[in-house]
Amino acid sequence: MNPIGPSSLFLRSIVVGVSVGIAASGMSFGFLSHESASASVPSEAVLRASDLDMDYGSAPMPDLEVTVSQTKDLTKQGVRVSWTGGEYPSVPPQGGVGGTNFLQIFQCWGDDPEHPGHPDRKTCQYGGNGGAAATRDGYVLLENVLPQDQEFTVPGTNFFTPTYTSIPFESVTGETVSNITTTGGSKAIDTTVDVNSNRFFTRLTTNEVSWVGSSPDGTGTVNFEIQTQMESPGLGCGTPKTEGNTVTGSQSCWLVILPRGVADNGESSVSKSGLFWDSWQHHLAVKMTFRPVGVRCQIGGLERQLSGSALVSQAVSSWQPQLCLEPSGSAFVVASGSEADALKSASTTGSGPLALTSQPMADTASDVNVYAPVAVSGLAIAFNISRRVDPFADVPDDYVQRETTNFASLNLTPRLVAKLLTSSYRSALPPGAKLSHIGYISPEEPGKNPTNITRDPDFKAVNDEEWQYQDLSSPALADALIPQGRSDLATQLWRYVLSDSSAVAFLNGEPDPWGMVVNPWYSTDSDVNPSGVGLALPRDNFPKADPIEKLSTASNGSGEGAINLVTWRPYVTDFDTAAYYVLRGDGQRLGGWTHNPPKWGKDARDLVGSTKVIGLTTTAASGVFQTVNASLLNPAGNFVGPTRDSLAAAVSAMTPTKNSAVAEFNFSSESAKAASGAYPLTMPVYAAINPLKEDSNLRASYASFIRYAVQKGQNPGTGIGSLPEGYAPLPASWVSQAMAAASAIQAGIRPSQPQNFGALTPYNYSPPVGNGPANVLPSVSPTGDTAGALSTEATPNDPAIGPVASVIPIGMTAGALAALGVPIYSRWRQRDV
Amino acid sequence: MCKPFVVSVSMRGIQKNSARKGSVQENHWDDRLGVYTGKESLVISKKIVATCATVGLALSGLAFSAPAYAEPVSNSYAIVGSDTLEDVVNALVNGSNITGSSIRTKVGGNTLGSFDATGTNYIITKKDGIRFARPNGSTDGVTALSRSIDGSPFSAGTVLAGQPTATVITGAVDIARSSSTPTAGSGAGKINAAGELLYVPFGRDAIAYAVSANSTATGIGALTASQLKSIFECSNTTVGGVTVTPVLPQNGSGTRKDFLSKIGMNKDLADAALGSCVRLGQEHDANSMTAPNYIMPMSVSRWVAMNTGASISKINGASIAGVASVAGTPVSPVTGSGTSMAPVQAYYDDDLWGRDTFLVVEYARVDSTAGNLAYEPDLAAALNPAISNSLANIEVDSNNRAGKLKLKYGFLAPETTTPFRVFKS
Repeated sequence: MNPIGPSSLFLRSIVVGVSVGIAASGMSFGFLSHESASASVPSEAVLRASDLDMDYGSAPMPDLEVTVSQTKDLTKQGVRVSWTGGEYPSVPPQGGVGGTNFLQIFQCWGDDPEHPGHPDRKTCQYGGNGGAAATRDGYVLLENVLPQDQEFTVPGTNFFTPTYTSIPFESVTGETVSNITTTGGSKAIDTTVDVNSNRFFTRLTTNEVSWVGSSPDGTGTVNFEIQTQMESPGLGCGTPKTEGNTVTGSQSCWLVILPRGVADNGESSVSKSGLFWDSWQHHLAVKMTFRPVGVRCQIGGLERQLSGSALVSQAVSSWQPQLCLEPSGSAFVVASGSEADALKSASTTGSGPLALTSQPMADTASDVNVYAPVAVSGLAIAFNISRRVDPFADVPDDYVQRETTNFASLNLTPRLVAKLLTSSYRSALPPGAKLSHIGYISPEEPGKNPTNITRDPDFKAVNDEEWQYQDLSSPALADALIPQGRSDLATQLWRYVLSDSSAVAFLNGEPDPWGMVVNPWYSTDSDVNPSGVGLALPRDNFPKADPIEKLSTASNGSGEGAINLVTWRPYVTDFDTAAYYVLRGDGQRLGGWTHNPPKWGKDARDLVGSTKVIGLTTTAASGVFQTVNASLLNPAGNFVGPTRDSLAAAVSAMTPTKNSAVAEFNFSSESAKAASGAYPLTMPVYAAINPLKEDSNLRASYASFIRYAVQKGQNPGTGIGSLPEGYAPLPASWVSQAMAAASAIQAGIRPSQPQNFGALTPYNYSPPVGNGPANVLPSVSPTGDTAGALSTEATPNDPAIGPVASVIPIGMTAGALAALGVPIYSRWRQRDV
Repeated sequence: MCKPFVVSVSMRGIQKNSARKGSVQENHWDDRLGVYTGKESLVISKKIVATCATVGLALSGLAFSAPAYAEPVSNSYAIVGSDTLEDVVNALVNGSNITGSSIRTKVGGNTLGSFDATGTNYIITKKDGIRFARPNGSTDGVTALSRSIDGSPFSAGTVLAGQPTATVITGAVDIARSSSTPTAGSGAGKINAAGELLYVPFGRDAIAYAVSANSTATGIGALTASQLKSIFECSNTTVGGVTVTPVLPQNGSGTRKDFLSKIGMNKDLADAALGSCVRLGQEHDANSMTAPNYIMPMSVSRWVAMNTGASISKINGASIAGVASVAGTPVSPVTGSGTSMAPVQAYYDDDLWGRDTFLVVEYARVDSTAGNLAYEPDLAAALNPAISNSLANIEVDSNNRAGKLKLKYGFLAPETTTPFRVFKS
């Protein structure tokens, strides 16, 4: 099962090193086989308790039928797990009880030799979350220990040392984490080993779902985070299997759905480990196959840099293995950062990397770059919000029945987006600080700014009636998770906000029709803004402008530290991370204060069924993590969510910017106002470079990249080399423009004016039929790893060449260090906060 | 420990060596406690002093509020922590005949000392001991026990004016009272097979809520968990059109943690992250509710004991309400009233609203594995449920069982019967 045994440390070192390189910088090299290059079709799997339960007679949920949205070609991504036949009522975990009538979902890697067709429970990533009924071990009464568990049980000796059972973890690398030692036939607990938190997984790294309940009709849905060898080296899912230099496949893994009923063996409630045989025998599992991790291009091949837009990393990851087989092919490294900085660097005749940008250079007159459209993507406002009806209201039965299930649609207007970006809702600011600037005086005089968006009459006016019956509270609903750094994406979102006169008025300081006012620190009016200077909009970042602070009470080893806006509502690293947190239901809320060391902690992510988070991300990242996205009011007056159709509709309505070679969705244009089905935050991405760059090999490589991107790279699909979910194919006229630009770049010729190589004519595109909710991108699997996920974006203080100068070397260093340090690799993963 | 009427200086002279480490008596596993009458003459005068307050209360049901006292020190083991468990543990260690039969927990003929969660800002638990912040609540108690084991400085969770902070209290605390159940996992305070602490089941309590006197809001006595969540999150501030004010116990209270967790909020919520409508009060003290239409979490056992006269009344005219499963349909966690009040078994049995309570001790000191030099038979005996008057006894079939005394204080038998190990916090 293990393709690379522990004795082959050197070989494994290379593989891990390469993988880390990919994660850190989007770099890819390694090996490639023809087999892994073939595109595969995503496969849905249906699992039934009646087929799979090893003791169906005692099944806790006999009618359980689970559908897994995708089981092949997996990578780091989300999959949708939905079911019918669950038991009800589902009770959440409580103290020493793990809950009632719920499912646990987790990943395992090995087969059980004694039960063919089933996973081996010792190989499951389970226990990291902790909590009742969610650990690998526990104290039990000896008479309740089933024969299958006796091997893992230390019998008790007296009242103070009760019987203890602990299921060890066996990693794919051949190591075993067990805290039971056997000496001369007698077993004892080894307290130096923790089976629930170890070098392979911890509560911060695990993807297991310890509790998810069903609706009254016995159905439910949850997005499950699939982990590869990158995220979970102990499982090693997707680790390439090689013969010589050829990759022949990759490590497969199991997805396990474990139904838990009302009581464990001999207990009055569900409180013991799900890996104990009594519960484990009822598992449903499906084998999943993975795309080989880190297998891309030939080692030692050419490496070229791309820098700029965060919108293309998923596409480049997918294209990469094919790109290096192209004429003049190379491994391409994407460093996400400010597009403006990337353009400046690309404009030189030196070795600056190819820029990926959505906006042309600000100074058109001195712009020497050639622009080639390579992708159509966009911003997405993703959300993960569970229903919780107002317990004091008279709520229609339909809505009560849906309690704890997730909302599938949400509408936003430019003014609502403005409210999310300006810390204008009360919960976006630390409680206990002075909030009079947004009208809050006391609980009796709360002012007119609601606590969060779901309680805003402005929001309720444009959303489904069901929202009016909800009572949702969380700081993570009072703003959106926003990334640090500068980008064209930020500029475009601010432009969208400013396209609406009511949003402009709100930002100026005028109350909305319900009396809500903008947080004055974000006001564009210098008379309203306490700083005396109005916020300049649009801008290429998302400021945390309010200097609010809840004062420190810390003194003499007691009390708590100060809380400012960033402490209360921190930035996320980048757009991809925002989608990941939305998938996990992690609203980045403030946790408790610890005295030693004195610091604020981070709150745990929300339990499935009570998730509350909104995040700003890209459509491509949303496709990878399967988040549900908000529909935005477009200039034609419709609420439209991001789908291939709506992105394509927006492209058809795009008009030239001041540089005729670059198009944009101009909110005030007549064509935009006529495009009823257009998703307003659609953005094109252009490859841009000075064609007079001196290095002809470099130009040839970039030309090759552009040609691949606009031709073979435009086939939607899940296989390597195709266009992932979250992108719309380019129209034919744009392909012509890109091909002409590629020729000019390769030849080193600056084309004569105008640079617009093709008319921006509408085109027809028939997307694949999708079955998901309207706002979910078509249910097609994404391809490629999330190359950009761990890239650092430039901060305003970075030098202009930041992404190139710093990100690449750091990425390379991470890879090299990991290659040297495999035996202790996992120690570098965060274990605790 | 009961409020004594003498100053500690006068008592110290008659106390035996307080910090009993190791085995003085030839105790073994099945020892019954309290049979070492030969030692009585050494401690009798202290016993009279120490038991007076509790006995007086038990007989008369008299409620009084007391100014700051000096308290006696323990002459064996010292117990601190939860407010929920303080009166029942006081009764056990100070002796009580509330069951009609005299019951007192002793180790090797020596009495124990249990210190209330509130009172003076500081306590001294043992002879020649250091003065340190009085642990207020389950979390504080377990923290103090942890610091007593590891020797790191101890401060209370909420530091009061003039309270000692960062005090090294090695050996000052032997047992912690905890009304809160830890969760399994890794890291400080989590249930784990490698934990330094052992949680020994003490009895079963339940969580309900108290409604202040003269409340007028319709339905305030029949709120559901979801409604309580809305009120404590400040997203709903009225019930039946009347403004309702939620009161939460101080940080460090086990009842606070349990209540928050049971209504679906984060149990470790910092005061700084609480909604602005929430007020802070002292747990189980209805005086924290200063006006009508206030509500606060309440331990049912405490409520029963305050009504039966077993504990000092902090009722303040308030009433108790079980958490309703259907809004507007009241659920009572107690039956009877006044001295005949008793818990409702069904409410205690509820997975959500019932809760087990624990006494916490260092595992090494009760682990009788051969060769364990830290093992103390006396401490193990004090927590051995097989012994009729031990702190952990849960038998109710006879008036001379500690379990029967716990019943009088509103505690039923715990659902968890096996102890479990937990990392120190």
